[in-house]
Amino acid sequence: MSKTIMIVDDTEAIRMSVGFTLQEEGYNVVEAKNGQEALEKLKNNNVDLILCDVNMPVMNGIEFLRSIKTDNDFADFRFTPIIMLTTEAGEKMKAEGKELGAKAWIVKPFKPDQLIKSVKMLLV
Amino acid sequence: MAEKYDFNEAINVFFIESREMLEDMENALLDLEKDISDSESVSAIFRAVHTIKGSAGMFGFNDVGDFAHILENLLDKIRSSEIETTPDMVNLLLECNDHIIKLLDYFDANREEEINPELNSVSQSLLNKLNSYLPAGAGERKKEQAKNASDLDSGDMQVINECWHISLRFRKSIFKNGMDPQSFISYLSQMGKIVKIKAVTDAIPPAKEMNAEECYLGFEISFMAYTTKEKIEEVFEFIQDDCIIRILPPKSDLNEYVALIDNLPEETMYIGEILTEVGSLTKKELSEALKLQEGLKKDSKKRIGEIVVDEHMVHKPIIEAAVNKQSNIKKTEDKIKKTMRVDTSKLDKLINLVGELVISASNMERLIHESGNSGMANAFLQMSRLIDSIRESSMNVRMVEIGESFKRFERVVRDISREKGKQVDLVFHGGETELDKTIIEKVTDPLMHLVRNAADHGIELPEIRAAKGKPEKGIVKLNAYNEAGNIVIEINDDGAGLDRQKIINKAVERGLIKEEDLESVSNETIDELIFSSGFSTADTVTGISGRGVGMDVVRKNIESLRGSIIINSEEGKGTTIRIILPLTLAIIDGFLVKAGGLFCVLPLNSVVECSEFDNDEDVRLSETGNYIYLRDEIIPYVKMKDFFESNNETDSMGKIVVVRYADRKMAFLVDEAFGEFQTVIKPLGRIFNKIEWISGATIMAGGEIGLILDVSKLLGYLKIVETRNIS
Repeated sequence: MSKTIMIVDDTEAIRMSVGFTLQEEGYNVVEAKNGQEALEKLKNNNVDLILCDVNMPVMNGIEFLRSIKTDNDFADFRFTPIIMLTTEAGEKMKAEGKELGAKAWIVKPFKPDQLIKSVKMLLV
Repeated sequence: MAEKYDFNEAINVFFIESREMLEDMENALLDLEKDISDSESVSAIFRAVHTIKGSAGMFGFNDVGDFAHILENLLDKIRSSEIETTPDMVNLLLECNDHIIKLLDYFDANREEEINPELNSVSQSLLNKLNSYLPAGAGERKKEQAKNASDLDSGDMQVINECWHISLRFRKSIFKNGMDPQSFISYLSQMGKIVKIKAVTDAIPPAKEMNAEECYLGFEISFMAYTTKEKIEEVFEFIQDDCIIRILPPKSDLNEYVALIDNLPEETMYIGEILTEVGSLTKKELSEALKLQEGLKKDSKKRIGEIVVDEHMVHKPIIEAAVNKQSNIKKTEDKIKKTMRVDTSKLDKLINLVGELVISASNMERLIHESGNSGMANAFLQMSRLIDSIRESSMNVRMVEIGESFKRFERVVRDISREKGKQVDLVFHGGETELDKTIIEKVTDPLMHLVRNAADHGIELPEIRAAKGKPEKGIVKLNAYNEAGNIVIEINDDGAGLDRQKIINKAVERGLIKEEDLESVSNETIDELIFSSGFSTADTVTGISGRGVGMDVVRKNIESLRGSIIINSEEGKGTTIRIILPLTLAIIDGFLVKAGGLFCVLPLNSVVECSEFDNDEDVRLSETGNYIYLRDEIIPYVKMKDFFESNNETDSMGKIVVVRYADRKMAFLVDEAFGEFQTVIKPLGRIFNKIEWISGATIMAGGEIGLILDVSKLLGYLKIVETRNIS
């Protein structure tokens, strides 16, 4: 059974390129364009790892993480590794993300192999 | 997940998305220009640039990404109010916006290529301008770093090692906090090569005291990578609180090693050994270091090394901007629509299938009627309603609000006003009016031309306007609305109006009109002349209009969309141009008639009424046979079969179909009128191009061909017939 990875990003081009990279590596991909949609989709999908942008409309990455951590509907995903995707190395945001259970982050733009390595590291 | 990702498609999406983003950015910039303190516009601009920067890099368009990066720096400073916005700056930002579009166009066309020198030099000059706004530090960061590195190179006590040295001591609690130290080390190996790693086992207690849930390990790592200290720190950021990390760059000052040795919990000799074992220090260097350490200790409290290390450990201050950004995003959340991007070819396929469905349904309808099976007829009625809704909803999918394309004109008007020293306001109405996407795409260029004309030729210079008693600021109005199944787009300006004398002069000069006819020519006819091919009245061709596209091309474009264009001008008060367009191109509601043995379809919305022609009181033919009296109204009358020059005689008296276009009416005599008919438009071959009043064809239920007639052209044709009759 190949593992399923969710990519949450409001930029379609990024979702597609990340999706492409992950699919090439044999992962299943679930897309969501913001935190809200991601939460919806978590209800119906078994997700092994989440890649999540920070700045998104409707529900941003931090709020999304908080929902997973605090909302009992998503208790199943409390230990799902989450990698934050971000363009700025904002200390506050990282600290916040970490506080809320993010396991790593990748700074955009990143290379496909960089992404795959981080994913593999967390999916061991 | 059935969907298969395609990288090329992702690149296409990148270009589409970025262009949309730039459009938003342009609009925001124009808003910012109006209100220089509008922080929401600044955030919108920042977001666009930020996203483009991120995704351009992902696809390897580094020239775009790097450009956006500097732009982002400046915008970040504007956003955090470190730099004040000036009109000049907005102008520069608009230039940058245009330039990114050019960069995208270039890389879209030449996906794998290097940037061309010309674009690159534009990039450079814009970047220089951008940098001039940035405080010396921000833009020059790279240079500074380079300088630091060379400083280190020239130091005496420098270590020869080319690798980074990383010292890690995990706290006991790290496992309990859910972190696995090993994964961070493998994560590190993504960035470069771990040349040598040595476990520091000094802290491991005797077996009986050991707690399996605690971590006692430390590592000394010699790491080869071309990276920055910050990047390496980032790797360990998540466990920052759960461990001691010391990172020494390649060729560090020996002092720093001394400080490192001093700082680590282990014995000096023990750690010194490990440092030589991982190859960070040579034996000689180690002994130098030890000597140095001794000396420093004697020297006193002031340990330079430690100070240096401490300085290096200082983390960047929290960026307030991050917080601001979050709150700004919330503000714009409402604006974002829930949409989904669909490939237009998929939509076209759907529409085509729906078209076929409509055709086969009408075939079915005919068969059911022939069979006389009422049960089936009832069932079919239900089904045809559903088909109607399917048709309508699938058409709706193609409908796009016209307002989006209106916004593009703002920039045009702005540029013209600047260049010509005019004051022009562009006002929109009915931006929410929906129109088929293909029509919108095709109508944008003609509209652009008309708006440009209105601002460039229509609106006068402020002095002239003032002299005429008008407000100095001219207004160009764009208005869109639904009217009788058509969409009307009006472009109105309160400028000088058409200069008819000039038009006449030009028309005579070009032989478009004869001098002796001048007396009898109406104003309307003169105005219409500007649509004649090769007609341009501007004395000097300006840089803005007169780009080789004349009004004749505008008219042709509109007509190719089954639309029409009407001009209305009043000298000194302004000009209004009305463009009338069909809602969609694919299917029309038609009115089916038969004349001269041929099926013909009239657009239903142009049909006013249909009645028996029995020459009684209500409907009767005039003596000349050119008019009918319809309840006391006199309407021009034509036998439709005459259009086809058909000699097919029918016995029946026939029916009268009255059509209307704009303010004119016309009555046709047809052999049979079948009523409403959903017409799937199929294009006609080139042979029929010359026959203006046939706009397309359709396939009838029985497989026959039906011709779709263009009412506006038929009326034009009637005009010619009329004049012929008079002469």
